[in-house]
Amino acid sequence: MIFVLLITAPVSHSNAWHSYYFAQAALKQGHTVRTFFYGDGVQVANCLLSPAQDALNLSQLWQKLAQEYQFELAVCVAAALRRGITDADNAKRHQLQGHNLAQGFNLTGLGTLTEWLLSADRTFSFVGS
Amino acid sequence: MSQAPLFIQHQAPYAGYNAQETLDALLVMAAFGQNPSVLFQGDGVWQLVGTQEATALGRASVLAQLHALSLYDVENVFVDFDSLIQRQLSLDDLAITAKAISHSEMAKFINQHTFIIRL
Repeated sequence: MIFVLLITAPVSHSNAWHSYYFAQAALKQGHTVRTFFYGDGVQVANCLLSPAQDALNLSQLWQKLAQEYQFELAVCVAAALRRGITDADNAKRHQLQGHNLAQGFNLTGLGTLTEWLLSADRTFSFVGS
Repeated sequence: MSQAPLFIQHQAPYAGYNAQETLDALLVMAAFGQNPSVLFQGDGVWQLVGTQEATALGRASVLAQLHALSLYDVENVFVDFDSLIQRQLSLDDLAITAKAISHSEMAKFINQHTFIIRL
């Protein structure tokens, strides 16, 4: 099955974690997983996130999982920019002082989301509101 | 059964970016020729009410962008009638024409769509 995960829950919300555990379980069973981070969900793509020492870093967990199973961590570029997350290219284009997109995450447009939604066997929303 | 996707707008227009980002996703879906429907429900009905002083909040008017729905051929605009009543609103208060859906029709209405986006 092709599962599309539309993740709008911020890192602070349990649903952001449920999306990760769901992806992990589905991939283990051989399913295809496509993750699209949108809304407050884009926060996870900020490489400057620095949780306390006794907490897990969800960004790093996604990076490892994506590397292991070779799937894309797509992040909506408009949602990311309005929340202060940018890659080097967009930082230059918008004359921003730095860039902070975590490795392994890709900034992309809503066209990607739309194509994925139309190709999905199942779409799961992990919302934070 | 309709093959159209349904987008549910359930938050007030400037309570975060939810309304804006749901609308953006809807418009791209429409640009892909997928004939999406949109349902305004709960505090989402406030998105349909004029006048919105969005610039005072440093934002673009959601209502002004909702007027663009017809440009994208999005004709399937619905509003949860009970959500209006609970907020002492009526169809006459809406700046956008929307078809009213009652609670008793809601389950059947939702079920007519292939997938639901409710951010």
